[in-house]
Amino acid sequence: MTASKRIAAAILRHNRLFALLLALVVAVLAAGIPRLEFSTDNRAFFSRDNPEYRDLLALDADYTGTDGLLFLLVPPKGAAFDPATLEALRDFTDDAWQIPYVLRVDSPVNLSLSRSEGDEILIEPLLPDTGPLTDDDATRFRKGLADLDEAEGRFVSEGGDAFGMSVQLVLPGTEAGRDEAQAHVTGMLDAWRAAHPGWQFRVTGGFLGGLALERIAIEDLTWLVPLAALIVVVILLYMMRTVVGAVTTIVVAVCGTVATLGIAGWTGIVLTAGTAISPLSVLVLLTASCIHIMLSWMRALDGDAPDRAIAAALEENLGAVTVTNLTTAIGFLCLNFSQAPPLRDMGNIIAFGLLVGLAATLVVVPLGLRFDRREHAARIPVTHTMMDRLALGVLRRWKLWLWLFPIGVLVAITGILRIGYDDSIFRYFSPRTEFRQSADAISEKLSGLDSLQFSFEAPEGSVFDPAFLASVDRFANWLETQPEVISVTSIADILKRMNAAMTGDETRRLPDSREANAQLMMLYEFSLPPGHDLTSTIDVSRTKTRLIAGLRVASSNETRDLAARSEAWLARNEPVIATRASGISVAFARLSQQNNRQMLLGLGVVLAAISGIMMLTLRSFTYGVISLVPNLVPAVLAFGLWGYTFRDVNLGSTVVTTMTFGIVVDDTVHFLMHYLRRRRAGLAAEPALRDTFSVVGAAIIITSLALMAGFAVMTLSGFVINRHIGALTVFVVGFALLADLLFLPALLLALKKGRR
Amino acid sequence: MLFRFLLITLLSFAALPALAQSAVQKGTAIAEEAAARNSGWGDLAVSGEMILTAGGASSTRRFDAQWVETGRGSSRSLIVFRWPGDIQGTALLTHGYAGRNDDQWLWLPSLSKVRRISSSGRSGSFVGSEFAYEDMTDQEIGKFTHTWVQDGGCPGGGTCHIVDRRPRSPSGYSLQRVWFDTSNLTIRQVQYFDRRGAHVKTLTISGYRQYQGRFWRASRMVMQNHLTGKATTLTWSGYRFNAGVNPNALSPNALSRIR
Repeated sequence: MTASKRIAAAILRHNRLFALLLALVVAVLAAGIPRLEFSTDNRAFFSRDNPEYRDLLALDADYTGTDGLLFLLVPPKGAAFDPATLEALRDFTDDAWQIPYVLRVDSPVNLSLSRSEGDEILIEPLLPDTGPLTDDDATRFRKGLADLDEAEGRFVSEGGDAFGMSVQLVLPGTEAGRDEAQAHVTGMLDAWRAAHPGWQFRVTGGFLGGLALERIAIEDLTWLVPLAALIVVVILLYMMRTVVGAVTTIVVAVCGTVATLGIAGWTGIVLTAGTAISPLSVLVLLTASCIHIMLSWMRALDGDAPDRAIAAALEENLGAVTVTNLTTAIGFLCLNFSQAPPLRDMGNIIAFGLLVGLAATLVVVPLGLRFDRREHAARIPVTHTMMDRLALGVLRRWKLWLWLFPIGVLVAITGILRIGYDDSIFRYFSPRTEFRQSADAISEKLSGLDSLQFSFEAPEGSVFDPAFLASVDRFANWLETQPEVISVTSIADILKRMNAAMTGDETRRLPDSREANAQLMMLYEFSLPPGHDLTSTIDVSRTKTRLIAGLRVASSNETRDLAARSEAWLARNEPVIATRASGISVAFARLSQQNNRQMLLGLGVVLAAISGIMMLTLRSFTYGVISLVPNLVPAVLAFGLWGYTFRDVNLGSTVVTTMTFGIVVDDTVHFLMHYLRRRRAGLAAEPALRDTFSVVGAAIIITSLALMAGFAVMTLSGFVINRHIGALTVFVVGFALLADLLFLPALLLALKKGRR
Repeated sequence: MLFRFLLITLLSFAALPALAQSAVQKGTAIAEEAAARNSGWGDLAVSGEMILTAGGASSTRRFDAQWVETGRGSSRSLIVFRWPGDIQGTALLTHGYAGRNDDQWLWLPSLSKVRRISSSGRSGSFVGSEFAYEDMTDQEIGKFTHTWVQDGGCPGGGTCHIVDRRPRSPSGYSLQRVWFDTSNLTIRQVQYFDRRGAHVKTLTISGYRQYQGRFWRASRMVMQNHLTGKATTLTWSGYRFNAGVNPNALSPNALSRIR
């Protein structure tokens, strides 16, 4: 009696006891679900030791934050500079001051213009603070706005038909705080929309992105996971023709998903849009294991009594199902190499869900199948005859497949070279989400939402040192010539403006003494409205200054590229002040690249671990190595296809290879285990392959279709990371199906012929 | 017995006007009394040091200040900055008037220029500190509506009149809640509420000493910003009353002679 027979017998003998134990474990895990929390923090994507995240914290410590809200107000056509419009703009500014945790409001109406008149320097708001506005006020405002270089793109659109307003908040860093601010903003905009029907109001901001992600996470969990379950049930009913089997599979899947969410609840893992979809993966993957056992059971029904058929199915699949679940879990555990905590969490909770699901598969499926009273297997759509015909066709043209796949890989590599990374908190949202639509509208009318920040430290200990300021200014001038840059805000601009206003010198040059700079800055400081101070530009100890470049980019490739160019320019031309590009845009832009580097390591570990397991399972070094080929090829083909179709990948895509490796290896395990069993039973390669096709071919096809359909549901998510993971996984599983059915048999034949 | 009854009744009636006195009248009375006790000091010179703290970093500003009374509710002041070194000698001259906006001039020694600042905003930060410019100037009572809230403990001991003052002219605040020490009507604490009514800052004043047998002056003011977590400690030293400050010396034309 073999080990798998003994274990299968033990499971069947104590099936009810094991089921009871399982129910107990699942119940305990389920108790963790009410503890689940959803993250609303857009910085949850960064690990604590991420260098860009540390840069962000340093910026937060030195300067007033730049996280806040950006409003777009589009008045009725042609009425942008009517006095009534400007009065509304002033009222909106007052309302913005009512937003919780507001620190400052930068609105076109509280912009001030400094000009000299005789020996007076007049620092005046562009619009009177109070009282009705006249046409003269409106004309003066329009002219003043046009004179301010910094206004266009920030406060007024290029065409002068829309206004921008930014609101700086100091959020308490809690979800309650973010919710409170968001609720206020939503209510405020609703009221304005109701009162001003001809207008358009839009808002965006980093923390709103975090909150929108939370909504997507909840939507995914409440809509997409059940939808995937429904699709799986339909596939099971159609492909397997068994209601009991479908119910049993759903019970197993529920055990796995409850375990996935339960462990997250108990261990305090905060769900993000990236992790909330994890139960979907577990559900789909467990279905595959159930399908393998149930198909064996159906085959056994043709020869054995119903009781015996269950035992036979369990014996036949115990090893394979255990190994496939383990390899899949290992693939997911290797997401721990990822830079981003949500992906690490996702890997861990899915791996845990799969292990609990494995136990559920082995216990629940045999128990469930007893309720199916049929004596003979149902006729399923994928028949033995079909499989046999497929086998013959494949084997006849085996040399074709042997050439076709390597050629495909070469073509795919050219596609992979086209791939870029696009990571941005704004473009993480699908175009159908309101958040993304607002962000797109705002970046179209005003400046882009991306920015680069540079924190320069003055070597002489004062930011007012003329040589230092000249360096910063040269860099600012260089930045302004870059195509991605819309606006540059630097201390040098402020000083040049103040100097011009003070001396009447229109050449806009920097003063040449430290004292003059410091004193002009003081004059500027005296003229700032409430909430505004210099700490958005210089730090409290006056040794560092921040330069902000507003960008308009189509993808974060451009952000990352500009960041690298800027750093190189600084190192070459201004080595004394050279610093890193920082800020949330560049942190996201660099996230995928870093993650990819880490994930290559993860892939190496997965390859080593899984090939080791394969060698042990197959008890053969050669076949262990061969098993890797049909599992690496699909990832290459999938990314190649991606490069030619969707082109840019994001953070989610970087983990797909590692993650799917453990998934697609399953079919290879089933295929090779059966093939070797037949070979070791004395069959020649070709008959063994035909037999393998007719026995596991159907299972491989059905499970692959179920996986593809299940992961395709992920592409419906509003979160682009999930869409990419889902779509790429569909590609990989599809190519893996082809590789297992076409390339692997060809490889096995070639190997045999080669040895002969 | 009858006598006691009558006395109590009489006393109750006597107390009635006091009870009927509205909270606004009471608040205004307290503020007026505090202002009256604090006027008539002539002129004053003092040195100030501000320590600004934000997170772990801190920064220092030092200045010398002079005030001279020029009439009821009006005054002139001059603040000459001493530290950091690059703003040494920079001077801010303010002419304050009862019932209208202040006039302000800034002297920038490095450019040898006096500039009048026609800024309508007095609500901005004072040299980057947590003190707004309006927190630093004389809180002329005519610019507020005072409402007595209650009497209660002072922060740091004693009893205080707690009075709300709401600005009548444009301000960065919607409300300031002031703790007047009942014993000498000095201000012990001020809570500042922003335009949306959120409590944003608290000023705690301590180290009062009496000068000239009349005027109470503090040595330490701590302004804590609850929104940003930043704070500024302002330490006053070397109070000199009747130092002989000439009001004419506090004029724009005289600014260039400042050392």
